[in-house]
Amino acid sequence: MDLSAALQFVFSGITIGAFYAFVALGVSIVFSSSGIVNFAQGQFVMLGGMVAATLAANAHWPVPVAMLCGVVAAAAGGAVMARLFVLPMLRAGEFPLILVTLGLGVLIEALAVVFWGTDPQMLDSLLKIEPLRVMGATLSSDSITILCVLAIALIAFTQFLRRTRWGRAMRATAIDRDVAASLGINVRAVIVLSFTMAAAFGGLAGALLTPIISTGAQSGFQMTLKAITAAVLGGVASPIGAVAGGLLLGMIEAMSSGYVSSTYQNVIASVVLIVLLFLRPRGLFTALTRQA
Amino acid sequence: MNSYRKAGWLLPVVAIILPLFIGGLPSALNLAILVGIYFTVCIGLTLIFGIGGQLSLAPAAFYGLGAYTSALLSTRLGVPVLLGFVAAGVLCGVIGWLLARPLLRLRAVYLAIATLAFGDILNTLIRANSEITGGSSGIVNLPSPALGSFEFNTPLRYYFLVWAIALFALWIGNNIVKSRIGIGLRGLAESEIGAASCGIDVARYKAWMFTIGAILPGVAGGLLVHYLGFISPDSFTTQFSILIVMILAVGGRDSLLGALTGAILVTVLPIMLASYEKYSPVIFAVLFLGSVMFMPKGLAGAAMAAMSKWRRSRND
Amino acid sequence: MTHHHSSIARRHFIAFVAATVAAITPQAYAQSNAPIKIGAILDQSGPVAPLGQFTRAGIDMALKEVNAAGGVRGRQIELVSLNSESKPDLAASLAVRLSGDADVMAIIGGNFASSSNSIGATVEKQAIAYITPTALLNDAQAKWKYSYFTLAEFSDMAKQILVYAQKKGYKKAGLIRVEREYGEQGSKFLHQFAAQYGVTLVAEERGADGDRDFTAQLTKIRQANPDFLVVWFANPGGSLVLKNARQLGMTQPMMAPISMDGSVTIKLAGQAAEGVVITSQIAGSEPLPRQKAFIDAYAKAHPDAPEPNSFEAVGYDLVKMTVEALKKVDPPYTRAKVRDAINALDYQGAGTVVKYKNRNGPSEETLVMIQASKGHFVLAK
Repeated sequence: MDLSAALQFVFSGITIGAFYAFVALGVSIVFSSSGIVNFAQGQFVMLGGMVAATLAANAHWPVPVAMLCGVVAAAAGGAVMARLFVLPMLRAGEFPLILVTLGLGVLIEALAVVFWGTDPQMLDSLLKIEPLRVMGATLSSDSITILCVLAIALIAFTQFLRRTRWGRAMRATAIDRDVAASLGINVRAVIVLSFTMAAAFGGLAGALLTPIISTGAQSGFQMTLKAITAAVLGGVASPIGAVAGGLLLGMIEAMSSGYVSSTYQNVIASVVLIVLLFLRPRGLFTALTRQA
Repeated sequence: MNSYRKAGWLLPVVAIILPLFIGGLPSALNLAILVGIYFTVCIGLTLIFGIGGQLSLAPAAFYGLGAYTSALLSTRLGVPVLLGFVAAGVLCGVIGWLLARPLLRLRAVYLAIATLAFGDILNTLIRANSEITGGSSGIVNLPSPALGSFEFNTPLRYYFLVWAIALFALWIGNNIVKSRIGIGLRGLAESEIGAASCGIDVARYKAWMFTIGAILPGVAGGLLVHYLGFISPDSFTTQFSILIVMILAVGGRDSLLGALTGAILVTVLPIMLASYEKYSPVIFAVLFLGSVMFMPKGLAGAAMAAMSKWRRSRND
Repeated sequence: MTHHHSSIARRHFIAFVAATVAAITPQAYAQSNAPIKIGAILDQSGPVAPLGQFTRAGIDMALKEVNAAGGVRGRQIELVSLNSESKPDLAASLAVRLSGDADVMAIIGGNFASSSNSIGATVEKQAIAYITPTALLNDAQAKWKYSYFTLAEFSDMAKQILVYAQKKGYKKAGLIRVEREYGEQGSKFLHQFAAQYGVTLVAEERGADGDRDFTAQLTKIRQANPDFLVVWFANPGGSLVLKNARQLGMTQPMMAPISMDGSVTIKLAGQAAEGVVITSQIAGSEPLPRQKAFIDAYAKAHPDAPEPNSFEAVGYDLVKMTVEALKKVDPPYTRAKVRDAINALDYQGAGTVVKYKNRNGPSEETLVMIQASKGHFVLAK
């Protein structure tokens, strides 16, 4: 097959991968500071997108302001979730915590459907720049925006982890909650902070994704599953691993669709995932990025 | 443990007598049949989640694999449906056994995602090969099971078939819980290292429970689709796996009584909530969250705790 | 453990069963001026919820009209509406629940093939008439005695698309379709009939409705250089396909089945929707005479979005058809009589045209080809 098609497959993989990576980043932020797998992460993506789209379309707010409000709404949701539902269950163990996040995911989606209905919402692009065209292949301006924001978010977050007091507290909490507490770290505050940050990143992802794929009240759950899959592929305990996992998963899907068959795109991605997990049960990039 | 053994005797009696009361009520009989089917699924899952402590999201996969095995054998090759059920159990068991060892090396969320991917693969294969499987459109007019010339073609007959199998599953589950394996499994849930240091072959036990946890949903899947007379991949989605895990948690995931409670809930709750139309998911989610947060051992656990408290107060 | 506990457990269990049975079993009563009940099983949550909610909106409109006009012989029509959550086995149980209510005269609903199939299989045993806003898929369903379909058959949709292509002189078709029953059916019939209309399918690719990018599939289709592109999808996936195709610089005309009908496509795909041709059952801005009354009423009720889609129109028809059948029955109403009256219907409605005596699906004239033009749907030229 010719080079132009190959390049288009790469662009497609980057576009899909950037979505997964952005949502996976939020999953990893929560996991790496609290050991909790947040099955409601996709709902914050949905919230960010829906709030931004509603404010822009119905209240006619400017797109950047609407997007910012989407991020704030999602972050607030994350904080409430952590404070009211996660903290009281902290001692209950891993399985009940997963169930609580699952239940919240179902609740947020159900309320969103009642509030917004099921129609997908649309939003104008943040930047109206020309798509990138290379040798007949196209990468949309929205994908470029997302990639740039993702890179900035990732760098900012890793710097936050390394250089700030709260960041170091998060890393300590991730290693051992009890030891962190004995060192005088306010573990509960750290967990609320991590959920809030993860939800904010989720909301940002949602606001940026809506101009491309639209957002519906029911889109969150599928997003969660893809994001957790991506995070697990890369190593859920490391933000860089999760982002790498997202990009890799997107690339696998696009390449299978391009070079093998779009029918078996998901089968191939799933088989690759299972084989990789059998070979490296804790994710691909965990060892590489342990220090991050 | 004693109470389960007693419940184990109580249940067959109730199962046999119940049709005397509800035999004339189609909707009640329909519920009783579905409870029996989901009970079979939940017994399998109790072994994996509650007693083995593993979060597997493969129930829909085995449920669907079993359903398609018996549906395709009976419609494409004319194999008797009951033999199809056996084949469904065998196939799910073999695949469960083969997958068990590599899968169970994975911990927590890694296991959940790997089992989810397995379900995805099966669902796509079913949808993609429509010449064989009927694809996304499914197959209608599935035959009823028959024993010689006796067809299980009325709800009442089907009820007895379902509950015969469900009670057999309960007997197996009860034996496992009581057996050396069961005690090993419980040790597993408590502490894997502790169990290993007592000379329990952890890997083998895990593989066993995973296999049985595959066989039972497989057979139940066959029972479901030949009852409905219709099969499509839409009945065996990721959402189903997650729903059944959630409901089992509400029922009580570490006992066979919890499995029964879960089976009743998963059948009755959606039918009762259906009248609230688009609000029914909201009510479901609130009930679910409430029970997870305030009854960590599920309804069955809460009921047992209340009962022993009551007994203590009586003995005082 | 002592004996007390098992007896308590037993008492509780029996009480629970009794309460459940009481909640689900209706009291049979027969008052002559009591409302006549129609059961509805709609997928109002889960993946198919958009269709369930469209259908519900159409049903509501019709109910209000019918009851405001005095109902049927002075009796109001009462809807017993249940949510089947896009779960086929739940839909079957709800059909059993509704048929346990002796006052329910007919059932409507089931918003995708799996739902309507499992309701259909159930009502065959329960002997209650059932009208569904889905399409007849196969011969087994065509033999059913109690199920009636209102959505155009996929073979007719595929033929409509091919007829249009032939008229326009398109020879080579590229197909991208969803891995769901409607995509599967569309593909099957396009392959089956293409040659009759001088069309060859040069490429076929698949995707999922929740996928986030289709440029890989579209690139492969583009290499086969088709004259036109068939997008057998629903929203939001379908609109993303339209956008991705234009983004890749594909200028071919695009066509889509009824699942892409509605203003949502224009909202989501924007400029990329312009010119897309859709096999619909209603032309919102250029109604046929049989659709005029419904569209006027709809526009009055929805001043900000005055163009209904096919699914709302069909939902409206479900009630109107049942009521028309009820009007032809001499009281006392029985399910058998209502079923026979539905079987004898010769009905030309807003969203469907049926004559069930011949076949339990709608007539070919149900379909209208529409085209997106400047933000609206007009009849395709």
